[in-house]
Amino acid sequence: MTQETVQEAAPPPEPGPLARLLQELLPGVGFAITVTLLDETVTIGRDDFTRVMETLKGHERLRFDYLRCLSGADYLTELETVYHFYSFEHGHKLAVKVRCPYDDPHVPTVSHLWAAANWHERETHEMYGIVFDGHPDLRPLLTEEGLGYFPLRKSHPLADIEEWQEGYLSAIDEAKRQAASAGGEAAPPMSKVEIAQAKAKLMKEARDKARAEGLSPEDEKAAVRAAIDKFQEDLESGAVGGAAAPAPMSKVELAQAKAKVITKARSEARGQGMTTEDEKAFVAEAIKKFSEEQAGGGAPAAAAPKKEMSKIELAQAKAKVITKARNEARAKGMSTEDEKKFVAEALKNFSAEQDA
Amino acid sequence: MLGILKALKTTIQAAARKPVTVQYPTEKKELPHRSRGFPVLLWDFDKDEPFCTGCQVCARYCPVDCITVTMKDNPKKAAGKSKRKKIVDHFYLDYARCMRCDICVEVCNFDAIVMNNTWEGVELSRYDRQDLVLDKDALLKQSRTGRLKDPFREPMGVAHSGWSPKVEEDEEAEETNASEEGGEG
Amino acid sequence: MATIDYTIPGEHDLETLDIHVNVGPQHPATHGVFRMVLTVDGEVVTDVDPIIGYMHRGNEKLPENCDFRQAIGFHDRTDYLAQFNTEHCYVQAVEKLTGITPTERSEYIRVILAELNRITSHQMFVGAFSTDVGIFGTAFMYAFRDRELIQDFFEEITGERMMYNYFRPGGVAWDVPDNFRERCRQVIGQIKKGISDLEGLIVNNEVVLARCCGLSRMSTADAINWGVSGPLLRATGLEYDLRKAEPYSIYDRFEFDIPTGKDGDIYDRVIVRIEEMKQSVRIVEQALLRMPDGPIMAEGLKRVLRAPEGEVYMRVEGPRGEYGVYLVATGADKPYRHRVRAASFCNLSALRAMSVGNYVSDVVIILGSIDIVLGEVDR
Ligand code: SF4
Ligand code: SF4
Repeated sequence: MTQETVQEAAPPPEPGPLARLLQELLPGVGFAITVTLLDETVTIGRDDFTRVMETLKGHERLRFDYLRCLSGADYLTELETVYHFYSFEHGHKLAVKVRCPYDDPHVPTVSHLWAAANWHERETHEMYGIVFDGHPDLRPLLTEEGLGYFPLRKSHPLADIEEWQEGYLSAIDEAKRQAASAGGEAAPPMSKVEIAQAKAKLMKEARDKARAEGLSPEDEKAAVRAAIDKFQEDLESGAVGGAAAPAPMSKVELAQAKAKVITKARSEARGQGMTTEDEKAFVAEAIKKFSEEQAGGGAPAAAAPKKEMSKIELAQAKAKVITKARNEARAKGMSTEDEKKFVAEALKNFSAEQDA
Repeated sequence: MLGILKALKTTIQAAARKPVTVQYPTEKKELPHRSRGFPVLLWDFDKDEPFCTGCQVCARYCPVDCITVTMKDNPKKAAGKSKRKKIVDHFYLDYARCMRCDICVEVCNFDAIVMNNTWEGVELSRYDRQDLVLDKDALLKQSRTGRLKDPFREPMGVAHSGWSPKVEEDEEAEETNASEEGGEG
Repeated sequence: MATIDYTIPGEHDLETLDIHVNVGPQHPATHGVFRMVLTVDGEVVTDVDPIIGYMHRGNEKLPENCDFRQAIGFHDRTDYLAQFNTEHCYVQAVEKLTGITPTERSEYIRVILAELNRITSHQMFVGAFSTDVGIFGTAFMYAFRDRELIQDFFEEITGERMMYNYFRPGGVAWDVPDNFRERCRQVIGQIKKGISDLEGLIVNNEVVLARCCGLSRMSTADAINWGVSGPLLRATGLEYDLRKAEPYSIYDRFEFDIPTGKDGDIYDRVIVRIEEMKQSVRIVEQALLRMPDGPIMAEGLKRVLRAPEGEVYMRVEGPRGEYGVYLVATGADKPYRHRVRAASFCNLSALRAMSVGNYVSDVVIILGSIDIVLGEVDR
């Protein structure tokens, strides 16, 4: 049931019959044994990989002729590939894992041994960015070409679906606040719709702008996202500043806001490829900042109508910064990872400037 | 040739059977009691208010995030007409995104939401997607006008599938629920 | 298969031009949004490039952001012709991880529904395939007439016609109606008649024989190498069925045969499926006799289901072959990694090997005989 990685200090899990057979047939290869359900699982190093795989397929006492599944997995610092085998001749089954570091995602292909691996490897390549050396044709299979990111990696966020929902909620909150400042009347149903519409318009504008500038889809998304974030911030700060008597946030609202801060910080940290420790620290800092802000009596008040213009400008400026940074990075011939970091850096600088 | 003759025999036999189709728009098949159309809210006729307290449990458990709910203090409570402390303020359900998984019904502690088992729950074609985002009034209409006669609420369903403990609908439960929401946020 | 001649165009004596024929993505013969680019040399196909992904919805990523129970609904949407089978696989994977034992009654309900679902899926196949072959319409209508019976039956139990979302870790969502047995017997009776109708139309029908016999022969070794599973693998003569080879759930309690073919050609693939329907009927009948009363959900489940650290690759025999779910849990209420091994994905990857060297018109039948479900291929 529990999965333990083998360490010298801890008693290693009992190797199963297959693992023992493998150790016997392939002396000198390190097999880390993992206890999993249904299948015996061994983890091998990348160096021995091809040799082990050839033995698995070819050796008469193993004869794993059926590759039933090949999966990738993202463990934040390492990428893993898992092979599930079955042998029709002997009726035994085995799972083999191999890990590769994040910045060097290369694993030798097995598509010449099992034809079934062909599509699986293509899919794993496009989803996780693991390069299967020697694969005849690593075109993307399910997604379009030139996507530029790896959807199943943990650093890749889900699409904007939550944003829209949050949009509704924040629209409702806004309506409430307006109602409160207007003297307790029931919220006019128009205003919330208006805000949602304004947001949609903003998104569209940002998108069109990005398209007009000929940004790549990735940059475009970033620009739109930036615009939305800005809008959201404005809504919040503007509302706090605009209300006659800034009512302290209710417990629920506070918790929600906090959760939002945490989520944001975390996804940012993930996006920058931080380690788990750093990520924690980063999030903690964000929370601290948030609490301080709350204690300090909310964001500084600002005139709402003036902001209406500036937020779009700001989003545009931000988008420009992103584009510039990206182009610079490309011109310098950076790798994708580095490029991302570079852009993130530029954005941070920009925000710092804005805050100042 | 023999095979074709055999096939012909089969078709001739089938031709003598009664048709199995119905002339849909004019003639409608009876829907089974458990039929799962899109979710709707229920109206509490005793208290003349919705059952829904706006506790947001359904919104949190909906796998596709298509519910948006907010809660408000129940004005009827102040007037002493109802025992519900909190009541739903806004309720938006995006039918275009809903996948009719029944999860919101199972997790609701107040039996406030059910799957529509009438034809109105499935005949929902619209010209504009935005029209499929229904608000509280539209969701309550079915039940309020009495057209949702006998909704399927499996009494064991909720407790048994382990989603959430079924709590009595009393003030205590509402309070714990409300504070829970605040805590988990 | 063995006779395939990978002739590279251009090595002919005469200078010829490759012609690329684009089939799909919207084409009745592709059974969904699927595109293939055929390279043809006259009438003979020399290369096939299947292009998939039109229906990719991130069905592997989404459940990684949902809790264990929420993800059941996404499994309905992978193989949308065998929803109960996919749900069965997933809930078993979760049960294995969390150590829940489903109740006896719910196991029987699951097996009955999964087997009925296998029948509907095969009916769909026979119907759609016979349109591909050219017995237009009739078999399709017959198959759908009977499929409708089962779907009505499912609707009475779960409320849904397609996306049931009915199985749960530990059991099923709610109990079946009181008249379950009688209704099931009645449906089974009609299905049996329906199967013999289909048999009458297809078995030994000259049109089918002429078009399917000997076409796209696949040897067992090739099939295994390509990761082909299910009826396609059994048509090559290998008696391999996960229900027997690695009995899961309660399949070890039932008596049934594994129908196999001889040549691995298309005709065998059809016959194997028709025979499988009969075996499924047998299983359902046995299960109906033995189904006990009792609770339908395991006791003492938590409000939030958390799985301890661990991983499992659960597989079941779906109508199209091995449907697998690979779950990695890290102690949270969500799977850390959620992978779907789709049977038609692997079977489809062998399309090139199956169709190169055949005529263009036959490729449509070959594709039909794989019985792809694009929801499962693209996930
Ligand atoms: S869970 Fe029930 S009571 Fe709570 S918001 Fe949803 S419908 Fe209303
Ligand atoms: S049925 Fe499912 S998808 Fe639809 S609103 Fe309820 S929880 Fe959400």
